[in-house]
Amino acid sequence: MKVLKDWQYAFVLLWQTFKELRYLPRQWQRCIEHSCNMGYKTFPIVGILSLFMGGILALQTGYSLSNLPGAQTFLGSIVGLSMCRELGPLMTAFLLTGRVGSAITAELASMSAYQEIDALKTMNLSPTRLLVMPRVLGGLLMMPLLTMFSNVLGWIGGWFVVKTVDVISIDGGTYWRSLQQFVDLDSLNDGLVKAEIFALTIILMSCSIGLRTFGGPREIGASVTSTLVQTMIAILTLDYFVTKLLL
Amino acid sequence: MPIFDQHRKAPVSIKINGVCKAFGERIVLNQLNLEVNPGEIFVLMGPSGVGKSVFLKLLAGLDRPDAGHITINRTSLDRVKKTNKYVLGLVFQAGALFNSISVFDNLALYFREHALYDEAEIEKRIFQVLHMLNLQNTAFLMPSNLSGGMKKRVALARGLLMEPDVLLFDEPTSELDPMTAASIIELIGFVNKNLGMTTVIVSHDIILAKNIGTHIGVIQNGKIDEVYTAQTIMCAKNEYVKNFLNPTINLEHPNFLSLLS
Ligand SMILES: Nc1ncnc2c1ncn2[C@@H]1O[C@H](COP(=O)(O)OP(=O)(O)OP(=O)(O)O)[C@@H](O)[C@H]1O
Ligand SMILES: [Mg+2]
Repeated sequence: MKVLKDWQYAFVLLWQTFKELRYLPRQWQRCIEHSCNMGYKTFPIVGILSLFMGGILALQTGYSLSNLPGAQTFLGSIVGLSMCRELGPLMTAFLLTGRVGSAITAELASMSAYQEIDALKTMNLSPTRLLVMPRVLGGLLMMPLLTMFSNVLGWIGGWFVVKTVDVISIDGGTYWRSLQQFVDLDSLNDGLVKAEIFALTIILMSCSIGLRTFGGPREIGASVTSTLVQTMIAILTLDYFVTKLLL
Repeated sequence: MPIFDQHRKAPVSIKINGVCKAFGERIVLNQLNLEVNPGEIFVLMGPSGVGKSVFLKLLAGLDRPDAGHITINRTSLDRVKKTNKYVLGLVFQAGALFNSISVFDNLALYFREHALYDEAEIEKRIFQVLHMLNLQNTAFLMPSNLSGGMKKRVALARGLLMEPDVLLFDEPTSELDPMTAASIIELIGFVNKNLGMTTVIVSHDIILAKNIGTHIGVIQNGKIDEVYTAQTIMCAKNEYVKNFLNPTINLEHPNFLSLLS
């Protein structure tokens, strides 16, 4: 029941954000601030994890393909496509949930618990305009960059494994050529579309849960947990359907 | 240089008609009626937990009553909020300052977001009010570095700077030392006399009520039965009001004695 409410309110927020877009000029600076803040928090961890993700992917598939003669020449395309169509957006979304979504919920929940949201309302300032819209736009601005960064580092991770691990008999050049041959603009695009949908979900969900937190520290903690769980479930569910649509 | 516009708006009246509010089973306000005259200071008193803060939230339009109407100058509160016809300022019990920005930015937010004045004017106004409240050294501190009483005064500054038509206070003098409390009372009285905005104060502080209250109401069983003035409240016949103003202290209370047996 509560989950439905959270979703319902997330949609309301989406609609309100849309309506508040006409105040964008005054909020532009806030959008950039939030965007930088999100990037600053997430870039390093996305980089490290993507590097390993690409490496692991190359190692696993390379090893499995080692007794199929010639199959390893496709390693580049496998790593390349998996990263940009699926793992890049997905992992970035999970990290954004953990680092940014939880922080947004905690911040908005404590603002709500300490009546700061009420104070905004008495000043005739819309919480959506000042708090939600800049975060949504910040997330939408930063997510494609993060995802591209994740893709590239994943590919580099794969290349590094190809170069250093003996079981994999191809050389770096073959890896990159295969990657270039199969990863086209469409695949990159599909990945980015997914990433933007995830980002929108994460930010709206965490704002929705945060803004409707009442009580004290205990409720704030519970809301953060709820954001993490609900957003992860939402991301995977959406991932399935969006993938189906885009294929 | 006056910060407040001298040619001020005409004061507004507030009418509250049969307002009810319940949280689940708990009925907090029950058919509350009240009239506040233009420009007066109405003080609402009552023991802890009777619903004074709830009443103020309804009056500020932060929450809706389950039944009943609130009108300001015969315009319903919903319309007032929607059309922004009258400004309602609320000074919260705990301040409710925005914790992530400095005191100065807290005070400037209203002006900046509504694009009312340029930065120089904003700064001038803020520092004048901060001076008046003896807060000039706190302008660039963060709210978390202020004491409870300072936060209250900053919240008061924020309320005043909005130049509202109706100014609402939730316990403006609680948590303050008697000296600061007295200066806050003086300030509220001064502002009301010179700017004439209709003021509603929720408080337990009888000193405040007697000194600046034009009318005083005591909330009982979710409603206000009788409205007093500073003179008449001291000789009120109602037992509840008498007890509230002059609580008897009995160290041999039977409830305590039962703890020992
Ligand atoms: N959001 C809410 N949900 C449930 N109950 C509430 C809510 N807000 C207030 N109450 C209840 O309403 C009653 C009145 O609360 P209120 O805060 O108005 O008291 P008060 O008169 O302001 O007391 P104090 O002088 O201590 O501030 C309390 O019993 C409280 O439990
Ligand atoms: Mg209260």
